[in-house]
Order: sequence, then C-alpha cells, then structure tokens
Amino acid sequence: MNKKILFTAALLSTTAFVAPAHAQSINYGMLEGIFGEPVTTSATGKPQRVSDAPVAMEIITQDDIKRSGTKDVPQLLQRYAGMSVQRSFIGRGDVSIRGYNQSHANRILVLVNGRQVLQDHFGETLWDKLPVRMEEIRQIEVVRGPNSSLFGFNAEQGVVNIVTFNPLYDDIDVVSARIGTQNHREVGGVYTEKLADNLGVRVSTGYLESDDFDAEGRNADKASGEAIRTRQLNVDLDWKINNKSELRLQANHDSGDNRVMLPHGSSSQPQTQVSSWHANYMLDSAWGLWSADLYNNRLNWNSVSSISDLSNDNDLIVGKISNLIKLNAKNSLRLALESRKNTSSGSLFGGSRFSYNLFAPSVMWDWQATDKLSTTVSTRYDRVDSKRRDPSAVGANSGGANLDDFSQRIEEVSYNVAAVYKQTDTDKWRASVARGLHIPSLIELGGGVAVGPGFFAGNPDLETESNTTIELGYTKELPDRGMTLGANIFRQDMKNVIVPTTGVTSFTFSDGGESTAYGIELTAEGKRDNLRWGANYTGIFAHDYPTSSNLDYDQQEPKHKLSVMAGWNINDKWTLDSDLTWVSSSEFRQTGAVGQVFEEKVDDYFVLNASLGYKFDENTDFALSGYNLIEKHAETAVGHTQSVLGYEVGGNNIGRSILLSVSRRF
Amino acid sequence: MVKTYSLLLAGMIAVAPLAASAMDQKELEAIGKILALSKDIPGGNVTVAVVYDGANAASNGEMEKIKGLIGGGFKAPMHTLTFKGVAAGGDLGGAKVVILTEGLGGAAAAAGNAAKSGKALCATASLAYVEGGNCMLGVDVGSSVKIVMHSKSIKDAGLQFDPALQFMVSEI
Repeated sequence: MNKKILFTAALLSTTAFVAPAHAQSINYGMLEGIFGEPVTTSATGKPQRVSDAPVAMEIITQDDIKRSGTKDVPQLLQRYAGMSVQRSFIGRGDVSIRGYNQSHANRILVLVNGRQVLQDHFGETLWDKLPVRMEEIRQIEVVRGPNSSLFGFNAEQGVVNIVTFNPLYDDIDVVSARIGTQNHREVGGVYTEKLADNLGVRVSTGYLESDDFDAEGRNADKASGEAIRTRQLNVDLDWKINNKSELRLQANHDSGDNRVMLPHGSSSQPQTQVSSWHANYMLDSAWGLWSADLYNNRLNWNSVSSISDLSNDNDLIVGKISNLIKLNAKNSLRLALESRKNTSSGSLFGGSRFSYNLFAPSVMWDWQATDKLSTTVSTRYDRVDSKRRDPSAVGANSGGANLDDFSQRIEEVSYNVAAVYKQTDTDKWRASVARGLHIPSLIELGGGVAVGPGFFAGNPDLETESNTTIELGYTKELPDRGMTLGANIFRQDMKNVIVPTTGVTSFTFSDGGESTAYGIELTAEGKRDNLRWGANYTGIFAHDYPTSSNLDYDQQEPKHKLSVMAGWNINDKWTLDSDLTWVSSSEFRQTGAVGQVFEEKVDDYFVLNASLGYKFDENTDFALSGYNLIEKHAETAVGHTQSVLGYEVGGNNIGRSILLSVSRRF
Repeated sequence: MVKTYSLLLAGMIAVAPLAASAMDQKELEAIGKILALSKDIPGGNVTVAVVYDGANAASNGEMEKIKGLIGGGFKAPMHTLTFKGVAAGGDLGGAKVVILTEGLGGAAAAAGNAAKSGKALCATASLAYVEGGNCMLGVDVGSSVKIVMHSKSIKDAGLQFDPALQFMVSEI
C-alpha cells in the first residue's frame, strides 16, 4: 500500500497536533556502523564512542526498545542499573538515577535531541508527554551521575537524553496500533519524507487512552476509570544548507490528561497541554563546530482536586551557543553560553507571575594524554536572578515573605573531572569527581496558593541543592564470549537537600540537611547465537544528617535492585524477550498539606515483563507484551486518608497489563 | 566494604586481544561508511586503486583478497566501489580511493603522494603507513575498532570529513 495513504490514515485516526525540537545533527547510524558501537554526545558534548565516555552510561537502542515491548520510557528504564522508578498510577512514573527518588522527582535532566523536556517550573518530567513516539527513538542515552557542568541544573544525578532518528539520514515510516487490558487503546504513525537530497522531514502522531489499574480500597471515583488520555503531533525537519552548515527545526504539541499524585499527596487528573519549538543551526568552520540553539517550551496545566483548583502556565525560552574545536590531535575544547528566561503564572503562584533569568558560561577540555589515558575537565557557572512581578498574592500565600524576598540572585559552579584509562583493548578504568546542581525551581522558590484551610508557599530562602559524586568504574569486555562486565562504586554527598515540609496550616519546601549515599552498580551483558542477556545489581545506602521526618532517604529509598533480562530469536519469525526486576522494601514518605506526614512500608516487589514478537512478513510485526506479570504490588503509599482535609494520599497498586500490538512499515 | 569491591574488580580482570594488519571485509565496510562522511567524494561509482607489490606474497595476497571482496562492485552506503589493481609505482588512473596493501616498503610513500596529488583518499589496514605519513586513513577492525587519520596528509589533499568523525578518530 502506498506509504502516504497509510500515513494519512494513521493521521486521521488520531486527533493530534504539533511537535518537538532538538540539536545534534550527527549521523549516528553511519558513525555507529564505522566504530561498531553506539555514539554519544551526552557525556562531554563531544561526539564519542560510548566506550570512550568518561561517565557511567547506558545506551538503549531502538532494537532494545522494540524487543522489550514496553509502552513507555519509565517502564523501559526500570530494568537498567542505577535507575529508580516509582509508579503511582498507570501513566505516572517518577524516575531518578542513583536514588533520591520522590513524588514529582526533579533531580534528573531529561532531553529529547538535546532539548530539555522536563517541566521547568518544578523540574519534573511528564513522561506521558514526551514529544516522541517509541518507534522514532534511535537511542536513549542515560548518564548516571552529575553532569550539570555540561547541561546545567537538574542534571544533578544524571541525564536521560532521548535521540530520535534524523529525517535526513533515516527513513522511518511506520503505523502502529495497540490494544489491551485496562481498555488500552493506542494508534500512531511516523512518516519520513526526503524532500530533496539535503532536506528531510519526519512527522509523527499518536493517540492513547487507558484506564488505571484497579483502585481497591480507594475512592473508586478518583482512582479508577480512565487514567490517561493523550494526543500528540511532532514535526522534525533537517536541512543541510551546504557542506558546512545545517539547520534543524522541530515542533511539538501534546494535550490530554493523566492521573498524577500532587506534591502534597492528593491524586488529581490535570488537563495538560505541552507545546514546543526548537531551532538548531550548526556550522562547521575553521574555528570549530558551532552550534546555536533557540527553543521554547510551554505548559498549560489545570488541576481540579477535592481541596483546591490549581493552574500553572509555564513559558521557558532558552538560547544557547557553543563552539567545539579540536585544538590539535590530542586536545578538544568546548565553550558554551546559555541564557534562559523561565516564567510561571496561574493559581499555583497566587495569580501572580514568578520568573527567573539565567546566564551560564561553561567550558569543557578533553585531553588525550596518551593512547591509553584521556582526561576531561568541565565547569559551568550559573547565575540565576528570580523575581515576582505582582505583589497581590504575596502577603496571603507566602507565609509573610515580602515581595523583595523573592528577588534573589543565585550563583553556583558545577564541575566534572574525569579520567579514562584503557589498560588494554578490553579493559577500561574510569575515575571521576563531579558536582551537580538542583537550583530551586520556580515552585520551590516562589509558588503560593491557598490549599483548603491552609496555604502552600514557596521558600525564597532555599539554597541550591548539590550532589558531589566520587566514582570509580571498570569495564571488561570478553569478545570471545560475547560478554561485557562492568562495575561502578561511588559516593554521593548531597547538600541542602530540598524537602517538602508541612506545618499546621502550611506546606512549603525547606533545606532538609545533608545526605550521603554509598553505591555500587554491577552489570553484565552478552550476546551469543540466538540469545542475548543482561543482568545488573544496584545497591544504594544512604545516611541522612540530621535524620528527620522530612529527610530520611535511609529508609525511604530501596537499598537493593536486581534485574535480569533475556532475549531469544526463536527463528526467523518469532522472538521472545523477558526481564525480571526485584526491588527491596522501603518506607514511602509523603508530606501532606496541613501538618501530616504519611509513612507506609512498601514491601519488596518483583516486576516481570515479557514480550513475544512475530514477524508476519517483511514489513509487518505483531507483539504480545505483558507488564508486571507476577504480582500486584505497590511502589508508593496506597490510599491513606488525610485526616483534616479528607483527601486520599498515594497511588494505586500496580497491576498486570497485557497489550497486543501491530506495526506496519511502509 | 572497599576490600570486597577491590576483590570483585580484580576478579574481573582478564586477557587482551589481537589486531589485523591485512584488509578484510570489516575494514572495507568501514572505509565505505567513512566515504559517506566525506565532503569531497560524491556518491556513486568509485574506483578503488589497490596498490600492491607482486613480488611480495603478503602484499599480493591482500590485493587478491580485496579483489575478491569487491568483486563486481562493493556496495557501500553511498558509493559502489570497483576494483583496480595497481602495481607499486603504477598509475592510479584517477582513482578516488587508494588502498595500500602491506609490504610495500618504500613504494608506499610514492603511492601515498600520488593519492594526495590526485585528491584521492588513501586508506590502509597497515596503520604503520599512516603513522609514517604515507597514507591518510588507517582502519583496523579487531576486537576494538581503531581509526587513525593523518591530519596533515588529509589537509594537503584538500579532503574534508564530517566534523563528528574527526572528533572520534585518533589523529596523527
């Protein structure tokens, strides 16, 4: 069937709209083919083989994604070393790296093609609103550990950079549909058109709706029924202007609603619209490789809950310019400058408007000292000036802070220093020290709204939260056995940990103190004949100073996680993939709205996923995929009742889901 | 705990690999992909001049192997490579890719210079040629892929590549 007709049919079958943006016009496919391994820019900003990267990282390929049968990114990430995923509802997962996870996790940076897709008013990621369909992802690059000196704040504990296929180099044309338990219904398509030798465009669209897992023991009106509904349209255009310059334009629009747990624990199903555009221009000059980015992210968020109606309009505009130059055979230098303006308004800000301006120069120096030893040093200075424009709500909702208190200047420095020693072609050692930052978000600094009989207020006196990590890593390849082994040990020192705090009539954020965590990650993976397999263990042991009801990651964070994965190419038609993750028990803690902290033991749990794939013909694939096949379990607290306001705290038990999907390339 | 970690890491240490010096299919495929990232060698048919010394068994053997690999035309992502055997000291005949086989001795420098003046890409699996400045591109796909470029030779030939590639290779 003509591919245009198929794509038009997919387009008409959804009611979607506009799209995402991005930055690295690198021919990943060709470079990967040359070097025989994935290529990344997420470690230092310089294109490099993953085996040369001076950070602990994971590259999840499109083949991994397809074989896994996963329907969303958090589900996919859960099985990898260092990843912490807490799912509270079917479409809601909080993701952190190396612990310190929480409701509305905001300690990692999530990018799509280099554009930040986390919501900048709070730093959290709406994973159901990622401007990308799973089929158009080339690879997901996960950097474990701080990388603020390259990417700025929020890369405090790591980075998830989703890299899509490039419409100039990759012809991806596919329509897909998926149905299953929880009334899951999903349809989407990706269409690429090479308009000229030097101009390509890719359009993708999708519609998804699903009910939640069963809400036993909860208020069924609030916690069951349709839990997620989202529609999106994404456009990506790449124009190679000449041999020296390239322009990439992307845009995205996503709208829908998704059940979430609000920061004070109440569940809600906000209406959310996310839109963005992104322009990236690259110039290969005698003075290095220049890259200029300009992008805009917008969020319109409206939540109606039992105790308050909340709204937030966030508008982020970012301009960046960088120059990457190879000074000589051994030295590369990257200079960058970033400026951003972030503004939020709506009832979450007391009807006022709160904003910050950021200015951040950074530098990275990469030195290939010898054939075996390379070092990378990078640092970034962030200067943030915040300001509340409208004083009308300050007195009522900010706990008495004056308007001037919200005019703050924050100055911080982040850095990464790393060395990679290739002892042999198959043995690599890596040592690093890095400081990552979580500069307080707009909500944490300057939110303010009445909540029931009390109020929520940001805290303009918050200090920047920082994470200094010292790490040692080792990788061993056993090519004869088709195996790779890895080990990382690290120590994380968190300072000024920002925690939610509640009083008799207030909910705010405060400096909870310090926390130190020791950790270990062990990985093994391999391929042989028709089999592929992987296993990893993550151990994280946190100690808090002082331990309090607000700061207790020692108990709050699962200490152990173990995952095993296996894939089998049964024959030319059939594949079978499965993964099993075990997460140890923890004490889930949720700060409520008015003077209550809820604690609940979350028992250890298993998540078993499996996907059976069938290749019907050259272009048509079927897959039967199961998620959480063994046991119903909780990953957060489930269904407490707040005594004063009467709302329910926590998420649902996570149940089993089984999905049947079909995809047709054209 | 540190002791445990150290033991664990020590227990993982093992042995090292080997390296190839004669061109094989993997090296030829890598060269085909590198051509796709060249800014000066347009896609389509490209003649590959394989320079060999008929009196040297290793050189002759490598030439024959490449000839077999290319056959009636080797499909690379943007180019189709066709074979032309050139005895050491012979005319490259306007070829846009020149491959130096092992064991050429002093003839390698002459062939490398001829490639340079013909604005052709000189490639080899014998990395010593590149290290000596006699060839521009060395490719060795062993247990770990090694790509070596001789910057001055490439510059002298007026050839340019995708900047991402240049950040990733070892430069001499």
